Amino acid sequence: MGRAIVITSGKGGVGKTTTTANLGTALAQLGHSVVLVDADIGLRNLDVVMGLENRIVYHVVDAIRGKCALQKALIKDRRLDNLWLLPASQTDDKDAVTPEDMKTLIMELKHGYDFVLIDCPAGIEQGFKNAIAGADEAVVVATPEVSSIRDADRVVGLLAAADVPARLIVNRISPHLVKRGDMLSQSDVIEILALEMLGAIPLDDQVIATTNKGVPAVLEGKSQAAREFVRIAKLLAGHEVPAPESVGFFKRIGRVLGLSASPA
Amino acid sequence: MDLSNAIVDEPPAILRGTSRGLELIVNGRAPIDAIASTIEARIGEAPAFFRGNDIRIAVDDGPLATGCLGKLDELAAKYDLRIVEVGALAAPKPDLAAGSAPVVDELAAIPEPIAPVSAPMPAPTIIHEVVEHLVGPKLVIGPVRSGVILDHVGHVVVFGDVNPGAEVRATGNIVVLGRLRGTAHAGIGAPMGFILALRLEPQQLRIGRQVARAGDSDTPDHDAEIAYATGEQIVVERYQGRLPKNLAASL
Repeated sequence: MGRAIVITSGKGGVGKTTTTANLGTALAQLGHSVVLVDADIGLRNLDVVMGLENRIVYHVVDAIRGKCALQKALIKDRRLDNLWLLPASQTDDKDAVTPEDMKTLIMELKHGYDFVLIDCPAGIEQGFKNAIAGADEAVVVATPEVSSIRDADRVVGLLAAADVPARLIVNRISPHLVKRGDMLSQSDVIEILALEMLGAIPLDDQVIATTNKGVPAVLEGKSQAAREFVRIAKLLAGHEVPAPESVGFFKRIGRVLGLSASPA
Repeated sequence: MDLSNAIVDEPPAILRGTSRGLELIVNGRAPIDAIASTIEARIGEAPAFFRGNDIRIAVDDGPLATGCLGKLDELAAKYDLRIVEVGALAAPKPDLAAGSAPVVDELAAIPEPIAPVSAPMPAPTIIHEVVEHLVGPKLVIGPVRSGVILDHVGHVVVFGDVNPGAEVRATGNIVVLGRLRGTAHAGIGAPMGFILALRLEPQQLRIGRQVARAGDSDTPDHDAEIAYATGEQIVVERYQGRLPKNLAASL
């Protein structure tokens, strides 16, 4: 039986889809079978980031409504044999599925794959409720901005109410802005959210470039962000993981990680 | 309702929160106008707290005067309350002296430690907790996250942070053993109250009917601080291990 992990944030545009694509790809590279579920019905874009847009025939709503077998809606990745995508529908809206539908669907996927990563839509309405319905755990993505953290805090509360344990990824940290004191640091973020932190993804031009090409950054390989995604994937899979690389601000993360015990 | 008067005289009406919703005890001998004005004054202290609740009416000491129920109905409609039950007061009368005693006495009167309430994890919607008076302070395991509203009739103690966007409301005092970064409203419906936090960095403080917002200066204080109302304003000062003299005297 696999694990279902929802990637969520509350606020839009903080990198949920990019994180889902990269973590999924990294987990697949580690040898796990992975299926990515785009729960952003009506505004699908995980397929675009994965570069699989032109292969969509059926989508998640078709599978739920029984228009096709679930296996038929799954798209195999171009590059990795053990990575699959269940795309969202572009024409329906969030009310097209119910949390119960999603629970059943995710449960079915968990029987066939090691990891089911669910890309949650922004917001805390129906789409969010659908996305977290079948999840065993959550990864909350926040950027070091006050608005993002405020939303993440709200989402963590909602996840706790739904009994979904959450861990944190801080995305788009800019080391030199933090050093200048113009950006919140990881410790600021952790202080407010009081969550266990999986890692911090540095702001990286390469992620933007590869995302636009439909290739997850971890496949292109060498950037700092890609290495951090791989490290987080190993952490998720329960591998032994070295402390984050000690380049300047990463040293600080190590310290913070040591301090950031999970709250009650 | 003036709390101090309640100790001395039979008030025309007592409005209080219980675990089943609001309870209104009406003194059958009191004049209709006195009853109505007492209720209006009480609701006026915290309209949002009362609005939309179920209310049970218990009549104490004899039948209601003619027209009184009509007046109550009118008030209920005005404040969006649903009268779900009207009856004679069956249970022994609430201990008025204890129920409305000054805050310090109530703190002193807490007989034994109260078992911690399980962490009030935020439901998808706002949490409104209306709990029986006199059950003692509510113990909350934090963090209290954005979007959560904690309501309590009595005192509230939070172990952990109150995050921005969260709100803690109490008819008594509020103690935050952590950072208070959201909004706190102490002494709802009371003339006094205080808010104590290890780090007082709130968005807004409200005590009774007074409101203070955080200053624009950016100088975090690392000491525990206490906020309380004096006459016309809310005063914040360093907490030095005991209540400030003028606050202690006023309680």
